[in-house]
Amino acid sequence: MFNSEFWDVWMRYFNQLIAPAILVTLRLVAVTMLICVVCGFGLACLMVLTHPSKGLHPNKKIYTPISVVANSIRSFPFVLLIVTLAPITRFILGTMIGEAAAILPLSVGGIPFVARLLENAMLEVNPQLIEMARSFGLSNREILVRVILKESVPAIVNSVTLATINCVGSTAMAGAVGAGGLGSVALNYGFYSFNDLVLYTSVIITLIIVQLIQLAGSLLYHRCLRK
Amino acid sequence: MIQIENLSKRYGELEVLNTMSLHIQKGSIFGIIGQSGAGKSTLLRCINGLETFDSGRILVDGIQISTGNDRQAREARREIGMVFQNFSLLDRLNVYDNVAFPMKSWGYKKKEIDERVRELIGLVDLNDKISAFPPYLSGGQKQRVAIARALTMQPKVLLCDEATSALDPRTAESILNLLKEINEKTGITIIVVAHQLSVIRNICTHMAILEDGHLACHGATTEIFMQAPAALRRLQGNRENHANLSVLFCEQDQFVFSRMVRDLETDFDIMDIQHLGMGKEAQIHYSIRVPEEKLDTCLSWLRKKGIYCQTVEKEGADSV
Repeated sequence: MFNSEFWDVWMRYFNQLIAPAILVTLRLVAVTMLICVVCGFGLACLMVLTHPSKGLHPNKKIYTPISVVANSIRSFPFVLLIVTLAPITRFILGTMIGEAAAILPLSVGGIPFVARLLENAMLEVNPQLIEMARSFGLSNREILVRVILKESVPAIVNSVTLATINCVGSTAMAGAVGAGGLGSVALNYGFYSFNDLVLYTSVIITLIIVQLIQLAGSLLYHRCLRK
Repeated sequence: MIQIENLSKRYGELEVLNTMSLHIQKGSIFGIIGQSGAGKSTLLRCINGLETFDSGRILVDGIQISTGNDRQAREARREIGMVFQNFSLLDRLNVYDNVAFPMKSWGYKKKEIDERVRELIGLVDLNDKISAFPPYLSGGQKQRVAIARALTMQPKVLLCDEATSALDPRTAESILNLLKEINEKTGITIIVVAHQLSVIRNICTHMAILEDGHLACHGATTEIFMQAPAALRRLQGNRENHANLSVLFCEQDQFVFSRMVRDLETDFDIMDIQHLGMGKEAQIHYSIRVPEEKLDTCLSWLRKKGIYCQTVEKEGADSV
């Protein structure tokens, strides 16, 4: 089966179809994660500050709305989130298909997820350390930066790794509704066209991408454990 | 130095602190002891504004303590160092950076931080561990780091919340020695919260016993042991007290009892022996029993020799 003819065909598919799709997927994941981490991090800090029981400055009026919205968005199956947001996407970007149009729902879905993950990571910090910092007269801002963030860096790295892998999955799903990328190639040119070669090549490459992200995340995690 | 006035705090129905008033003198090592839940940790945490209270007030060197996040409240807290039972070191920072942590957070100059941190690491005898990370330190070493860290801001008061409870007896003793040494060198006031009487006996010049949020008794440690009030006896396991004479003398005083026995031709039993203090000033407190008819002659014989003694009340009054 794996003769030279097979590889010729495979190379053609790879160069013309799959390679560009890999780039699209990577670009989608990178841009989405950048947006998600920046926004999610801000929200997570806000939630850690205002958490009703463990927060540095408990404030239900701020915490509850953020929490409720985050939960609602996260309870959406992602495919439905894309179609639900379609009118908004069209209103803002003028189109519903393509990379740019995919980034909006990907980000909307990803921000609450990242925010929740980072919030959990930061709340895991030993409350005795916060008390210690408080006993030295540190302000809440100082405690957030010097104790909570500093101590939760390894957990944050793990959370971002998890979110990035999750994002690769979501990107594939966004591919189903016109975003392009590996998911779209696997579905449209593979599955619906009865082309097993394209389908499984895409799947395997997606798998490799996920493994590489996990590997990088794990390496970084172990680096972070000590300073 | 530290003035606690009518301090009260309750969690719902539970009265954690009940109109407590206490004065702690500058330069003393003050021990607060009591059963779990007696409110001793709460009291300590009120002193440096980690815990709110319902009424009363606390003054440290005339400055009122509060839990606020504003600069004034935080600066008052900076004057008070604290050492915790579980060390509370930042695992991702090495010994040097852990000790430097409070000063860095308050934005001191690098050179100043470096001088102070190296001096304190020397004081707690950890020069060889200066770049080690906390997970690689023993319990005693961790607590030394925590003590050095608590001293960086040159506080007037050092609070120790069960600082030796997580350590084995020998390590605990070395930590207590270190605290005493720091107290002698710098004159800093130290407040120690403990549930082990040995901690109080070893280093505290003054002590207070808390029971269910009440101040059961307080005073100089030797006085409390001499008078053995009911609160102290309850703490020691509510033993029945058969002793009728309380005697305190230094280790240098030799053959006190054998001479007393020869001179007065009396019998005696030793009911209990407690060491108070450590090192050169160590004193030994004896609870002894002499025949009732000989009690007065024994008392005057001991007093004539300049030995501190007093009779033990059968059911001693709680107040001292």
